[in-house]
Amino acid sequence: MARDNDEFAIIFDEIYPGLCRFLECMLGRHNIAQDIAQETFMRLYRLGPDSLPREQARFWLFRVARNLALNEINKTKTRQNLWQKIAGVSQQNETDPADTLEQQEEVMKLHRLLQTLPTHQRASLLLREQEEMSYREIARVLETSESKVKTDIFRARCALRTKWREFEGRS
Amino acid sequence: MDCEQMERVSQLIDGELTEEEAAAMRAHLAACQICSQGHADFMLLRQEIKAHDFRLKPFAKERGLRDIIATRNPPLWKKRIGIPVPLMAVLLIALVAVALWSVMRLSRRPTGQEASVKRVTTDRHSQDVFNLSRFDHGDRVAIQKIKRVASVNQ
Repeated sequence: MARDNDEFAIIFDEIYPGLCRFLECMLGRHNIAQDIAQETFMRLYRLGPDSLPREQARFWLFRVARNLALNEINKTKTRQNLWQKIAGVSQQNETDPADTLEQQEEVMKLHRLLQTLPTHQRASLLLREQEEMSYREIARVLETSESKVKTDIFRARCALRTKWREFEGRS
Repeated sequence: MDCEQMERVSQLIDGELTEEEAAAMRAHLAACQICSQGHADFMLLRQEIKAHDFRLKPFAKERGLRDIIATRNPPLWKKRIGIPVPLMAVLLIALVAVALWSVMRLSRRPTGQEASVKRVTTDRHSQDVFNLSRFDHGDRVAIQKIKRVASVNQ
């Protein structure tokens, strides 16, 4: 059991920070990213360290994290829609107090721009730029084709470039 | 205004082109202002995205790992029992069947008084006399007088 835990600790140590970063950029929120990363690793741990080789575990973790992030995005949207219906208030972002201060001090430009991308484009681009995965690996994580990944990344870059320029022009 | 080679610029910076394709693309970049600008912008975006660092709270990673490993040996009242679904279904069906059988059996069983009355009356019909010798074990016996139904023989 101790050896299993050691093996798990190595995987955790190696992938956890990157997974948190990926989730933060996917969700645009810091605290929830850490919670989802924790939940993702918990699921791996329940599977048992022997169930997946280390290299496969990386893809598996990012796939599960992406799915959990999409669930969270949908839940947030539903909550926001409900809130808008009830209060009649347009709320741009759901923020918790812990995030508020952080958002004020941190440069949120990149986050905000990333949030404007469709989720599949955002995930593909982040896995490419942050995790340096190849198109084939990204396709494996996102369970899609390489050609779609290629197109998604290109479109994401073009959209970000355009929005970046608009943002720069405004500020 | 855009160049039709722009998608290849994206592939070039991702290292997804073959050596020959990459060389051709580099030659194109040198000549095409649009693609050259696109390449520079894409590289800038890459830097920005890569530069973003997730700020972990102090000891958050260690705490996270410890919490996960702690779930392996939860206290007794938090332990889960893993039973395969088919086995669980069979167990449930067996449990329900036993419960039904017990209920039916209990509802059919005559009370002690009825049983003894039946026995006595049966004996009476067969022998037409009260034979109390078989109760003679020092135990008490309750004899109930039962109104005789008008005999069919009469």
